[in-house]
Amino acid sequence: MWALIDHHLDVDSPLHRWHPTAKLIGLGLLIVAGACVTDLRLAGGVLALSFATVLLTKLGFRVLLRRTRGLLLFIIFFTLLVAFTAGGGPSLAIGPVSVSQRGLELAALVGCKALGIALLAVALVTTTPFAQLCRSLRRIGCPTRLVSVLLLTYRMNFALGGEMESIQSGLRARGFRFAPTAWGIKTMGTVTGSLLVRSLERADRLYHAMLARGYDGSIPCLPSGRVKRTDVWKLSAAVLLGIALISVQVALR
Amino acid sequence: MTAAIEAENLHFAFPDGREALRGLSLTVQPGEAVGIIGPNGAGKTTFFLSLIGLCRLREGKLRVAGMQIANGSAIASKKTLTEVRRKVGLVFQNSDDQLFSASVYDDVAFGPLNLGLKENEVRHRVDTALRRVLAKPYADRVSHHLSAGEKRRVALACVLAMEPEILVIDEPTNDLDPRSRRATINLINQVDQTRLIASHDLEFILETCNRTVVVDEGRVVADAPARTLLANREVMESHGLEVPPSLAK
Repeated sequence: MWALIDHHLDVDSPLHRWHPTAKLIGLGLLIVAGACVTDLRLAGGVLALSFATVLLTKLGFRVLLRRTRGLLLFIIFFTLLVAFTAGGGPSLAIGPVSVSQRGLELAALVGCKALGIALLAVALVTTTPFAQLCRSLRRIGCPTRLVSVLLLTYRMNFALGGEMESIQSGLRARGFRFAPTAWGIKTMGTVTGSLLVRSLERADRLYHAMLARGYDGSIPCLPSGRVKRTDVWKLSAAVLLGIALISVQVALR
Repeated sequence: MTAAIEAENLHFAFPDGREALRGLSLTVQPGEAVGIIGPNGAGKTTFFLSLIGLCRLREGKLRVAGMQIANGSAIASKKTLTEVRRKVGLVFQNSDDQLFSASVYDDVAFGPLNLGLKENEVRHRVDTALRRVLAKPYADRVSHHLSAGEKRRVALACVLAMEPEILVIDEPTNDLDPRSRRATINLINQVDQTRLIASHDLEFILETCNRTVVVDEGRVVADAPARTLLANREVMESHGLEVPPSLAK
């Protein structure tokens, strides 16, 4: 997910132009509506809606597939797990394992919902600068501490990544190549310990730097730009779609 | 006139027992530009951290901007520390330790927002500070995508935007290319706040400070006008330093 953040902001698309707070509310509502769906046909609708949203980002499916490989693999793994463990009478046998009609239906439902929700989340984070996303979270009432933790995690992820890279370069420069030997494992253990200590020290220094600039437990944010009429139209469309999804789901019960 | 900084017999030891300050005493008058030089591990950074109450002193008296920060082992109240941190702007040695927001603009705005300023004033200060350090073009970039020199300039902007009474800068020329270094010299010479600058770049100290202090083994061992002290080969070499090339002839 980190690979998606702040990497595709130079694209001009309706999603990129959408006000961050309105976008967070609109796509957030669609995600909630998607999670509430229990009917397979509606789940297919959620998936179609997500694909359409991703198309609007103008990023291209190839880029998104490359960037979300890990996430997609997890969804596929989880869907297969559901298919083979859902119970019910076997209807299809593949070698030693069998899958039931109920398992297939449940897997299709879970797969459509998970993929649809994941794609909506991807559309949100790829088209919004992380700083603005955090500001919007604050604006809609997300707890200050939670947003602060999110911000610091984001920053420290890169800081520690850089630290790890420099340690690895230092190891390679001195001829170290990892092999599963006692020496290799011992070295990697030392590196992990060193990274842990360094991260603790860095967190300490960062805290000092924040105190030096008046930190009192919250990270204040400047408000983002004004909400335009087009932002309201887009938000209204998303809200209507979300309400429609939930209403149809209730009617189908 | 009240001194900007009055440090008397400061003592500080790390948890492992290693002493970083061993009786450091120094008085700095308002508006002075003081260069703090000394070998690695001399106690310069620890002294800077103690100015805003980030190091709990063991002994000594410390007054900063007219406020008592430490008296013996007693440390000032949280309110006093908050107030002194508004008045003392500290630029840390490693810029990565100072930048934590998701964008450069947010990082520079963090301090002024904590001062409780209105949005217009915050935006004005951020724009001015970024312009002064030549960092305006990358205001919307994320901190971790900046080069080391760019991070250094943004770290300086973060503190300038708070408009502190006392500017304390730890190694300002680290990672800077010649043009940025020159811009930093010009910038520091333009500000009229009290300045305390620790650096191994002695030519930089010569150009920006009218007074220089040598700190070694946790105490002040020499204190004189910058040009006089930096040209004193005996003092410089006895503390692991060198006379800067422009004064060596």
